[in-house]
Amino acid sequence: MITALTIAVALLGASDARVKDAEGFAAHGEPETARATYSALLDELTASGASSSAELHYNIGTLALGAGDVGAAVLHLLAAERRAPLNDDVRHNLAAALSRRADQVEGGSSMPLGARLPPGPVRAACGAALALAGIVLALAGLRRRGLPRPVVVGAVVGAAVGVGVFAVRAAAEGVVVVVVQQETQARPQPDATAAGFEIHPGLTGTVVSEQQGFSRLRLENGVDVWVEQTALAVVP
Amino acid sequence: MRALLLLCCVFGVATPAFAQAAIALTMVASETTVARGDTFRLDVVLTVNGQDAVDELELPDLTDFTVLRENESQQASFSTRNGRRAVTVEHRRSYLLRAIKSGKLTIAGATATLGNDVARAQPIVITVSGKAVVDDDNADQNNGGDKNNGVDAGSEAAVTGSAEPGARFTSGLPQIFLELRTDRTEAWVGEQITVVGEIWSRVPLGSWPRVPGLKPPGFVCLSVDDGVRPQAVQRRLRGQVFNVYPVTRDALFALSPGTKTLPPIEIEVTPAGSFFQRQDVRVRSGSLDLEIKPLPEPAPPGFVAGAVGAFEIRTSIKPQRTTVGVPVTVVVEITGVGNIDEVPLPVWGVGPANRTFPATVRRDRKDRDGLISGQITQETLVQPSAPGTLTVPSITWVVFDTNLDRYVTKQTTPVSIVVVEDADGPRPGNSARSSTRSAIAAGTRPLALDIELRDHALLAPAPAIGAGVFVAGIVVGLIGRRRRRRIDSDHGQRLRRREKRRVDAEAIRTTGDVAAAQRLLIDAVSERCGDDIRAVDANALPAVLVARGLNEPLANQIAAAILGAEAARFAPGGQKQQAIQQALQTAAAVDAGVVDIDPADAARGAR
Repeated sequence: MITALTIAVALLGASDARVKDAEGFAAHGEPETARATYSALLDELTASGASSSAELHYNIGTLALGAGDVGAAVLHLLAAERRAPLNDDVRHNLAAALSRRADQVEGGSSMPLGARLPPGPVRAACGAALALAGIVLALAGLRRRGLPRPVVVGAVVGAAVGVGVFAVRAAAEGVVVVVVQQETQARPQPDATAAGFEIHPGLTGTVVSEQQGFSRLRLENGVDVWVEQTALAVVP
Repeated sequence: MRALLLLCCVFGVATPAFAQAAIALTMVASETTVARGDTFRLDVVLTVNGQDAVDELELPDLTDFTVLRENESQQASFSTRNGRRAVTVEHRRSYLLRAIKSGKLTIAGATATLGNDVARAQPIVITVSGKAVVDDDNADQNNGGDKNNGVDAGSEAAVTGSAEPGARFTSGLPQIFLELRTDRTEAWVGEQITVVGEIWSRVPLGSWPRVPGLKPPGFVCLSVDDGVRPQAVQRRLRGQVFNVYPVTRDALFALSPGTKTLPPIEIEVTPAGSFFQRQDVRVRSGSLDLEIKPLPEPAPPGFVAGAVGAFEIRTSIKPQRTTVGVPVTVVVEITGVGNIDEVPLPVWGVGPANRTFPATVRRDRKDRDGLISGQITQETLVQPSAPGTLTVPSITWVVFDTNLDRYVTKQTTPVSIVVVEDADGPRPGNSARSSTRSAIAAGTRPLALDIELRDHALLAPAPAIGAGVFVAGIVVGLIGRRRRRRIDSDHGQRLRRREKRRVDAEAIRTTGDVAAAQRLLIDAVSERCGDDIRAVDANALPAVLVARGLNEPLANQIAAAILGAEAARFAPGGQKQQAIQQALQTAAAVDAGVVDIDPADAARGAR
């Protein structure tokens, strides 16, 4: 147990040191090295099953944007926005990345309400409301005189609201993918020989279905196209 | 006559999402008034609403201009119109043109056809100022005696480049020929000369090879194809329409002065169609003579061979503040147009008191509009040895500027940083960075510092924990409510009273209160058989109790105990303890018959 804890602490310390290294690379005009360092940290987190932070995705996306890699920039900045939708820096750089896409989508839907809710506070509020309601109900049952009815009703309503908000937030987290490969063909059917048109890195959409190595992608304005899965990356 | 080019686009299958079809064609020039020899850009933009391919695209005739560069790009946009999904594809063909004739030159409009839809772009008139126009006929005459330098030789040769294509054929143009052309016939040592190899054919070609880069002796040779094979175009030459197939495009930098000859190249091509009956045709270009001028003598002090082109130099130090012993990076950047691989680096120093590590040099070569350009980045670590100011002095660098045709001395601005002695001062790559966020690109917010790698791990299970607490609260509340109801019931109250009597009995045994023992017994009996038995005479009590459900021995025992207690109360010195004991045992016996329950439950109920 102690050994495992020591190893965990050591790994945590090593990660912190590499964060400093990455910041140093960026400050010394080596953005590619900084991006590679941050990406390595992200890969380790992903491999360990841990959830990566909005800041990490923001830095990777911003560095990719600086390098002209619009696909990776949109991918990681969307991931950062999913974690911190109210962060002004994230929204600004994401808008910059989207504006640099070769394919400009007209008539796209605006950001759903649920996606604007910060997931961390929503989770905390939902959990707190449920726990408070549980405690109130327990006290109401245990106390000889019970609890005032408004207190019990208020706690239950609060828990219901918390669960509702959490459900709205969860519903907004669909499988969003980003085109990351150059010269990708969007086709009317899942057939590599079918004629299509060219789409470019940074174009986003949600996956409706999958078939024969293709994903049926619903673009931001509702247009459905088939794209090879190798050209897409799922927003983490 | 306009050139005709069929574009076979990739769109072939229409879907409901892409059902709408309409085309538009525009032609835009970056300049409409230029000087002779100047370059400008021409964009031909074809917009197709829908997925269909255009049947024909007739591009403008550009015979009056030299095509320096040609790009094609495609961009798709998606939209919802009147509730229907639509896609619009924009094909853009861009030309970088050089005006080689003076006067008002008209670029005829382009035409595109898609089914019954025909889109036409308006012609553009380019006004070219400068010397007299050299028309095709004159060029033919001039080229008759000089196979390469026929067009307005002299000062214009370097601007207009080599002669008209096919100038070496004085008796008439063949059906197909290979042409080597340069953008100039006279250049300085180290100055770029762009050589283009093209197949001119009056019939379409089924296949044509891509010629490897030219490697004539005496030159540094670099390809400017960018790895993308240029598209074939149609041109008009001496009143005839030719298909022009680029096969090579190279930048040459002469290493020494003198007259240099580019040897001819020879390739085999396969015409399409029946005219040649699909037989391969071997074509051979003419040779080209180039006049390479030596750089002017004497060169100024500090000039190093290879520094030829149009360059800028600047220096910087990162970070702006450091500690003694902690190295900083001195960056020298040279950017511009020229053979970036051969450009020598300037010499500079920061004094012997500071340790200088070997520099790293990165050369990034690019092809900008057919011109070789790029950036040299020299990074040197310098370790300051004393507190104060570390200064990189002004660097002097001499370059021969090919735009100005003379030597130019470049000087950088001296750059200084502060070196502190305090060990706690900002260190490069540590706290100094932490105080300043790094901006990565223009128009973007800088990076976040001191970031947390993991998401809020404690918040992730919050809903699950809250749900668990909620469910547990409901369960606990229900259990508590059930127990409270049980306590508040008649049965519960009886249990509590019985427990109370048990406790009171212990106290009575200690105090020896016979009257209390008698009351306790009567309470137990009245609870079992009704409160009205309190008024029943002791002698008649057994019969009443039996009638109320007690067995006869217990009824008799109750009556005897009451009478015994009565006697003991009014007979001092009598059997007091015995009466108390009998009354309490009888009360316990009555209580035991109240309900057969677990003693532990009874104790909890009493509590």
